[in-house]
Amino acid sequence: MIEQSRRDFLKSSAAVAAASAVGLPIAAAQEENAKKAEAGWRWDKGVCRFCGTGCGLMLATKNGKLVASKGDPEAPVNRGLNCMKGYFNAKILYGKDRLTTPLLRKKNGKFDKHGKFVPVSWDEAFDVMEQKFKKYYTKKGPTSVAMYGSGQYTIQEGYAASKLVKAGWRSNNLDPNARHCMASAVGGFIQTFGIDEPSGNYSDMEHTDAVVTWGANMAENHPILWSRITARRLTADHVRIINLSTYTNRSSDMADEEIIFKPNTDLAIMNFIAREIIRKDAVNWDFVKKHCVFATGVRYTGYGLPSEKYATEKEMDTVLKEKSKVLSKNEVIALGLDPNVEHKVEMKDRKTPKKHWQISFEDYKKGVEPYTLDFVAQLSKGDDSESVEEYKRKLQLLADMFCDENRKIMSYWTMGMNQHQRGVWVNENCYAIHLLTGKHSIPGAGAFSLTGQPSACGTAREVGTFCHRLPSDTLVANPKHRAGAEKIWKLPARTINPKVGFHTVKMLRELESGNLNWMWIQVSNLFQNSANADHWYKAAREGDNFIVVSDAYPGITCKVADCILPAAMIHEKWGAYGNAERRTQHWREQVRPPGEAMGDVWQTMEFAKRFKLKEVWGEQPIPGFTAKSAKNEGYVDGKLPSVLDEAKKMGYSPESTLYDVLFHNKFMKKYRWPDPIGKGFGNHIAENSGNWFANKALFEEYRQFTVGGHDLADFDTYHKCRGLKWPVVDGKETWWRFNEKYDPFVPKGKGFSFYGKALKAIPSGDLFGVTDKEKKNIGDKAKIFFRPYMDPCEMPDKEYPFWLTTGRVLEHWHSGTMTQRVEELHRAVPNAEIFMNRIDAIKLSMINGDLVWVESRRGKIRAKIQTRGRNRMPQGTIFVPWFDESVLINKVTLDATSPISKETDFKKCAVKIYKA
Amino acid sequence: MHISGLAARFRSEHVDSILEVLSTYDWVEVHAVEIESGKMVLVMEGDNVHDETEKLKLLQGIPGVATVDLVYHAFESSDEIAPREDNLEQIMSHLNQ
Repeated sequence: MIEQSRRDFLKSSAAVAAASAVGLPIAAAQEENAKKAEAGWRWDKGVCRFCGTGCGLMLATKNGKLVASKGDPEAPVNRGLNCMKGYFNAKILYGKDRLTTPLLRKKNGKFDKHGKFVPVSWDEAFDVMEQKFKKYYTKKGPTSVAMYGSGQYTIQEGYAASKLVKAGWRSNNLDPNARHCMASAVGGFIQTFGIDEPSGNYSDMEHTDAVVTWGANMAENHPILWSRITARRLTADHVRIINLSTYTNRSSDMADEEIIFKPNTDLAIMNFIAREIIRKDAVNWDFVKKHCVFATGVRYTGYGLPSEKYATEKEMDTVLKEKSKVLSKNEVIALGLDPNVEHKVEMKDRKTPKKHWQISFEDYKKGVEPYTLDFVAQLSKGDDSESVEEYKRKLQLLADMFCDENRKIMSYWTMGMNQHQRGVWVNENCYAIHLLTGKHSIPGAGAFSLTGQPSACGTAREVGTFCHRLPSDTLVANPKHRAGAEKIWKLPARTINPKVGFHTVKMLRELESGNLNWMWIQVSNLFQNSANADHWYKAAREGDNFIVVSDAYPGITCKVADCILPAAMIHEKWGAYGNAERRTQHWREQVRPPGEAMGDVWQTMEFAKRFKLKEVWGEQPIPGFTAKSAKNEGYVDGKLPSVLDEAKKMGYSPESTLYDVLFHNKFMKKYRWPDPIGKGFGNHIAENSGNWFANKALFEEYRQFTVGGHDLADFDTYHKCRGLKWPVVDGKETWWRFNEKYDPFVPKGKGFSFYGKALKAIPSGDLFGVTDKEKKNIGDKAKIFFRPYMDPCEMPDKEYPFWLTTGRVLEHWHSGTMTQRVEELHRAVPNAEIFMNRIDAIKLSMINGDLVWVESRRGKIRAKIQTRGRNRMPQGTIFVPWFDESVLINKVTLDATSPISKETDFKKCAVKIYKA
Repeated sequence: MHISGLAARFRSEHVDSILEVLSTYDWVEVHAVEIESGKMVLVMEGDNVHDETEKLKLLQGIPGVATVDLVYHAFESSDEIAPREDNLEQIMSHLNQ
């Protein structure tokens, strides 16, 4: 019990902080008391560990322990506010089951895949990791090994992993769980604009006249941004909020209109809006003619489903859709085909799903023509209890808002549009309606893809932790990009492997097929967050492989691993994240990691010490690689050339280690610790690396990649401000990209310029294919895509009559490894529930609280039904959150992906429900 | 003892009923109110983080309240936000079950 006066002082501190955050005056006496309460505390800025909003925090430490936190009043993102997850930033460091020592499966004193976990030293853990790695690598080459990361990697951690895997091991088998989260958004950005990430920023929320949320429950998942939108709505009467969703959620409470649609039909709703924009002559022709072209692409791309070889009998009828299907009546209309004949289509475009070409406006208009109000309303209406007339009124109102040239609109989305079998398509359709009306890249108007992880943008996307990428939007398949990376990384030419590595879903499938044998998973709970999970547990535990997991808590992924390494968490290490509005934010180490836990940067670099150049840079087998695909001389089919001779010429010895060549090299080792920027703060990695400031060195090297579009400031600058939105040019951040008024890369007099360079040279054709193969460069124009509606590959039927959709809930974040550890919280939402419509329950003779099975063609889980919860389901659809490892809903979900982005669709599959 | 400073936004017409509800809770104090702009400053006490999040949800559920955000969180004498004793046995039994 703390004494009364101390308690009163702390209350004064709390009141003063809260009053200042909302701009209310407070008594001078309170301010005096607040000062007394905080005597002896050290305040420093930090960043929230959780979602992609990127809220600024202030953290107080005393005697090496965190004692208080507050929303950073100087942070432009959250202006002093935090959501409920603000409570967990300190607490997650101190969970009862925090991992503090390396653990290895052993039997009779030796590593054994079927042994029990016992504590081991770091040296022993690395010894076994090395031995297993080399066993597979020597025999099968770079494709047999992989690292796996996430959008929770700090920038430096992701960069170090990327460099080790791509430059060191010559493998491209590195992918982040952002694949499950953002890959469709990336695909949409690259295909539409030629460069990744949003053009606007969060201040759009204060400038806009309407907010449209597309399957994004911001009230629960981005509460601070929702507070900004709410504040705008409450202070400007004309502002409207429209919430589109497959079920009623908390965001509907503040919305003026709620549109409940059937899964996948968002594609059709957007095409209806586009049709209305054209029909009502609301196209912003000045903008479109100057800055856009029209485009479409191949249609029969499959669904990213697995090979039949590993499918069970039950899975087969869905898996076969990957080969061919008979188009439904709705698809025939949506694709503009002859409704009087049956269309059985082969998935002939599976191998080339990205293929697209320019079309005329007339063709675009023809494409959206079938999307009439009548057709789209009958196709998409998601709530049986709503009348068609009422539903139509809302669709028309939404379309009319886009047609109103005086109304600025912001569209926001997250997983609803990204975790989607046509995820890239639906992102593109959203840009289409914004570009058609010129409502993009201006304050208050734009299509804005939100992120779910704190550094999905800053790390996963930007530093190149995807299996096809190098830093700053560059690609392993592009010879110029490889040469650029080899130059900055000081590698011999042809070190980097031109063949794209395994994306997330493919990694798991290759683990199952035995082609991938060694895997190191960092900052991610891969085995809880992957669909169709039973396959992968079996593969991991029964296959010929070795799995290492670096984590702070023992989640499901640790349980299937062979070796566990204890990781330092945020506030225990130096780091940086990049949020959804392109804001890069750095923080200092506030407290020491517990026990033997160490930061991932140290772990990755330390392991690099165990490789000599002669072991990795000799000739290497790459199954399936063709010399032609490298688009460069010096390759032969099936292997990478030895670069050891070239390395010698560059002054490297075959005996040099990857640590010395990639990390502690001439450029990087000049960054020493202590450094004035860290005066008074700890640095456990530097102190364990011979007083070398690796986190600064990695960032300084990385930012060389960013010049010319993704430009970042130097390390120290970020420690003196509350983050900066890239591109940072001449010390100035960029508020709105592509807009002359704000973006230094837009030539004067242009107005707008969509200057991204990727995928700008394309052939031309009509709605059904290429008619002129000659690739023409569209320059700095954006593409307005026509992408049709198509059915999901698995829909409810007689045997599996319900849609299943999954997602997050407010109190838990992601797989719950951090939030659910917090025991009290575990009690609050003890287990994941099945949210269900009451009438559905009555029809099945069930009542609220009944324990039931949810079963799909792939697996089943048992949980209680909830018919009165915060998520109110329409009939025919259930929602199960995925945080709970005792209700592993991903055993049930389908591993179909967007064929372009390879991102899994966790939002729709068919299930049956019966009493347990 | 955990102490939180909270910032609430509300619809002005509901101010009386909101204050009435708040007056029935002995764990929350109203430190400032501005009716026209619909802003309010609250200070809350809780036994632990769980208690605080449950109370926060109660506040967020009061009719007329639009948002309640956390601003300040002090936990200097908290037992749960403090380094742990040796926990290895517990972890091993969890992982090896």
